[in-house]
Amino acid sequence: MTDTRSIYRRIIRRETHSPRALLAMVLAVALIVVFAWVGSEIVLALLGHSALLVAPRDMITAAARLDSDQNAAVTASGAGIAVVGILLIIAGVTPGRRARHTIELDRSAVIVDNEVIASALARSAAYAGDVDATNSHATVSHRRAVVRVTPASGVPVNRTAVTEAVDDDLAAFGLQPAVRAAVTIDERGRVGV
Amino acid sequence: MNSTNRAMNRIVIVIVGTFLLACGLVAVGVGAVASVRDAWRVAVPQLARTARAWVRSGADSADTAVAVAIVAALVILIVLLIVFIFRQGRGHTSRLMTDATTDHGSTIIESGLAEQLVQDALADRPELLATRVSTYRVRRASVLKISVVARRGASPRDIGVAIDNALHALDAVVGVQIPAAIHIGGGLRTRMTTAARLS
Repeated sequence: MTDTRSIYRRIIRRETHSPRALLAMVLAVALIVVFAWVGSEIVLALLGHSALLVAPRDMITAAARLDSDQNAAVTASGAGIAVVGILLIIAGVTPGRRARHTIELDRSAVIVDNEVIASALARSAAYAGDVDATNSHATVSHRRAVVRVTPASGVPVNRTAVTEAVDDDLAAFGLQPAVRAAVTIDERGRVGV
Repeated sequence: MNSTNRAMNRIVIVIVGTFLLACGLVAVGVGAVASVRDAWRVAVPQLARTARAWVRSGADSADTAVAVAIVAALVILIVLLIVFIFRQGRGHTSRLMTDATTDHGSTIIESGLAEQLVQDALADRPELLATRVSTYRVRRASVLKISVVARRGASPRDIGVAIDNALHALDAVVGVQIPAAIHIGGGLRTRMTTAARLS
């Protein structure tokens, strides 16, 4: 059995980054279709049958004639294809971080969706600010949490209490990487809630 | 958690991307740059003549051999790509642990046991909307994966600790510590439910 730490490191790495599996599979299917088609056309041409779509020799002849009067169209479609290529290269090279954090516990590796963290923070903020849960919203990104509380009309919200509650929560969660909170209390309250 | 070859995924993506980028740049060159267009006019008809010879039916055997080789290469590539697609997302195992054989026999624990024990231990937790336990092979070790859907507003650390405790209980039953990964997720079900009174 390998060292548990290295197993956890691998799991955490894999759970917090995209496998790029969907994109790779879509490309693989597209390549299979193209290869199968080109192969079929070559076989049909060898047997002297008529082509499915375009005979290989017509393909190349058409490519040779590209130069005539379609320059603008060729340039435009070439640019489009190049952009797609660049996007694919970017997708292949960037880490593809998922919206997740990890929590260190003694026994296991814990991976938490940012959405879950946000809903916990929103709930704490609602309690601390004494507002209805529907009037407290939170979003969590890689290193920042933004909590927004809308007070009920005429009932001021204690900003310090909300900030403390959110900070306490974040400290207790012990997220990796650490998240810092920014609390906003809306200037205008909402009637009836 | 699964054994998807992620490096291979990225290599496929980058190769296709580079190919498309190259094709696109050549097309832009042919369309917009006069000198490239001239080179293209010279090069492609030559290529066309060669290729035409390969695929002409009833051509001599040397030319046909090239075409057959191309088709064979395409078939191999297609098979490799199919294997590549079916290699995605595997890595489940049904064997939790195998003890070294002694005079009294050997012990084999199936994953299903641990999965059900953990699942049962977590069944009554109000802050969990759903629990799924599965077992993967990671670096030649069996690793439990516990995926839960959290109720709205539940503290992720409390959930983690609760599952951690269930795992400690499992350790006591099984006799060894099985590595475990806990994934606490949200989703539509989290948003649609009301927050439970936990405290």
